[in-house]
Amino acid sequence: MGLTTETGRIGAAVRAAGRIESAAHDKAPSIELATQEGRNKLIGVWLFIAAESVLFASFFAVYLALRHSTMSGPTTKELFELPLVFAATALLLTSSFTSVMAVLNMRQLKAGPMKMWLALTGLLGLAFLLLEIYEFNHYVHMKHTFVSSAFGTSFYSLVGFHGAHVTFGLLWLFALLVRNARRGVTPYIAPKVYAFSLYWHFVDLVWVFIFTVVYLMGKVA
Amino acid sequence: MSTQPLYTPPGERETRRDRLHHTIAFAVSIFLTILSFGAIVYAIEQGASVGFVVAFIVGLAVVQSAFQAYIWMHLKDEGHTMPQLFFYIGVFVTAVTVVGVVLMSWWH
Repeated sequence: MGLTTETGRIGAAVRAAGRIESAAHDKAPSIELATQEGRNKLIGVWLFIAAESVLFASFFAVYLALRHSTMSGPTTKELFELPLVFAATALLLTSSFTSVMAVLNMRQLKAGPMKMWLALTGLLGLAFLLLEIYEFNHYVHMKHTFVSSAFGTSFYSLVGFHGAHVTFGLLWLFALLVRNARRGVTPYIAPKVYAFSLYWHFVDLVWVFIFTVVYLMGKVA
Repeated sequence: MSTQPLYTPPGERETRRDRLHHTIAFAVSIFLTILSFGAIVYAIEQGASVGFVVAFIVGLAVVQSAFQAYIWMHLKDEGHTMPQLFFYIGVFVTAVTVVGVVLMSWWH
């Protein structure tokens, strides 16, 4: 009789411990992962990012192979100006940070601050894009164009393709802000915002390699 | 059987911690960027070898992109097994492509 009670008590304690453990593991997810649709979307974005990294890899490889084939046009050393590149890098890095802040506010269901941070992200991205347009225009005046040499073609393919990604990201962000201007944060909206922020970080990640491999290495090699 | 909430907004403490982590990651990113630019501008002048400086800044780029992926893209978080798999395959194919083409163009 006594033994049975004792076993019963131990069993109850074990079951209770199990419940606490599983409660800790079954914590409800953050809002962007709350629905099956949201989870599917974000897996899709990651698959897209994996494919994109392969695409950028090809452009990087081609650039590295052809960067000295300047056809006696201006070389990387003569073309690049580091202060401008540094400003562009700072802008894009900061915009990555502001989009992270937008996601943190989204998870707290604060729609107002989320949109404010997203708008700031857009402005920083736009400033980056304007700098790049100024830069390309400057290069064209220095006779460094898409068709001037193999270096020109591979340079504009790589850096221009990245710029096109920034442009697409800005259009995406604009559509996101306009479409959801009057909406709050819901499990329907959240994966859309999160998907954009993943994409934007990836574009920034690619830029880290562009400023290192194209601009900084172009100044020394 | 208790009903699970669809999602839980993080508490104030958790949010403060996240905000701190992301701010630190941002500060580190800016610092690494300054370090890279500084290495190119000053280290070469000081007579450091080009090969060493290039290896150094590429290393910094790898560290910085890891920050982006693991902290800002939340790759380190729970339930990111598939994204991690996609990411690693992407990194692998990228490395093979870049190293392969560079080697081919060196000994053409």
